[in-house]
Amino acid sequence: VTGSLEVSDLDLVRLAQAGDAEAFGELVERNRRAVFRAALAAVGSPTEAEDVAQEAFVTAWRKLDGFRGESQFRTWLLSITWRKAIDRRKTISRWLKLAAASSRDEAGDDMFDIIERVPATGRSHDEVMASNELHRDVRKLIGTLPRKLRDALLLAGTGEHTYDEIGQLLGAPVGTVKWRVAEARRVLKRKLTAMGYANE
Amino acid sequence: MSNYDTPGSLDGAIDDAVRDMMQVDPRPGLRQRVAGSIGARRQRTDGFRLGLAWAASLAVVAIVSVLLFRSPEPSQPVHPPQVAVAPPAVPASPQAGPQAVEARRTAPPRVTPRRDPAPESIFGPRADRVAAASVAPSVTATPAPADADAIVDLPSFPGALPQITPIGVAPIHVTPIAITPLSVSALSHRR
Repeated sequence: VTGSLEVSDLDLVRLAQAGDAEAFGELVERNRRAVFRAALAAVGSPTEAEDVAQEAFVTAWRKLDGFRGESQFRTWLLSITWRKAIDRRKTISRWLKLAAASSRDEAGDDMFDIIERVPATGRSHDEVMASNELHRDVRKLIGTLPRKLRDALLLAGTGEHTYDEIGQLLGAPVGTVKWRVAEARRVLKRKLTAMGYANE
Repeated sequence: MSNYDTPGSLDGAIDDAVRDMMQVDPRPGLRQRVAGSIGARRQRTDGFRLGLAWAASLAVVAIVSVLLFRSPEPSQPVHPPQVAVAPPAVPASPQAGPQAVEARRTAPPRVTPRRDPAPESIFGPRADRVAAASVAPSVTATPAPADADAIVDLPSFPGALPQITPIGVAPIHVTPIAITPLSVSALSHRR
């Protein structure tokens, strides 16, 4: 596909529906970051998020004939990604609950928190160790947030998704999404203050 | 107590943490991995379809082979209904050879007619007895087929065939019954 900047997503979709694998590859390239970060917001692990993103693209290719252009391709693709990510999160959660049932430590029993204690791919051990104490505590507290608040906060923090897209993914109005983000921050600050951090 | 106590520090720390968690890029090569998965899936699908087509073709060939090379079965002879009322007489046919006539006369009957005692009629003895399966001698005088086993061999009946006489039924006369109307006298409720 030459001149990809001028070709719209819908044109690429039409080409891909006609069997043009290169056009679908261009769609993957355009949306890979948004898809990966949406999956990351749900599952919390970059490795798992990559698997989910790959599955989502393959599923999108398989179901491409059913896409009629009534919504944006990116929105349709993100919906597939979010459903797969939620399914993966449920699977991981069940597995981790079984694994952590016998060795639950002081850090809490939330699945997201357990995932976050696994060093992320691409981050060196020194980088992890260099993180300051507040940074670690904030991440840990994010893992303890209720899922609705945490999903909204993390999706808003990706820098890839608009509030409209987040609302469509979460099945909530934009106003509700904004309230959840603000509420998540309030909860985090309250907990951090309770832990002794000053909020001046 | 706190090592992060600058103004607005908690909002900044939350933003930093969320950004650090979420603004991560996937490893390079996602496009190639997706293309590989799609190709592998397509190969699996093609292989499955190819196998399915082969299986269907083999099944069709097998069915056609069975239909084409199946030996034609000899047609089963249709036995005539065996009537056990009275053994019809089969006179010797001049066209049949003497051996066939002899075999027909000496062969034991395969179907033994069961003769129940004739019931006593409340109307008295009938003038003539009529066998339901009595046939004219001209009909039965057919030549014996070549395959003697394919037919029911019945012994010849030495006696003469009874003559069929139609039964005369007298018409029934219906005598109308005269019904006189009832006359009901008025009853008085007064006593």
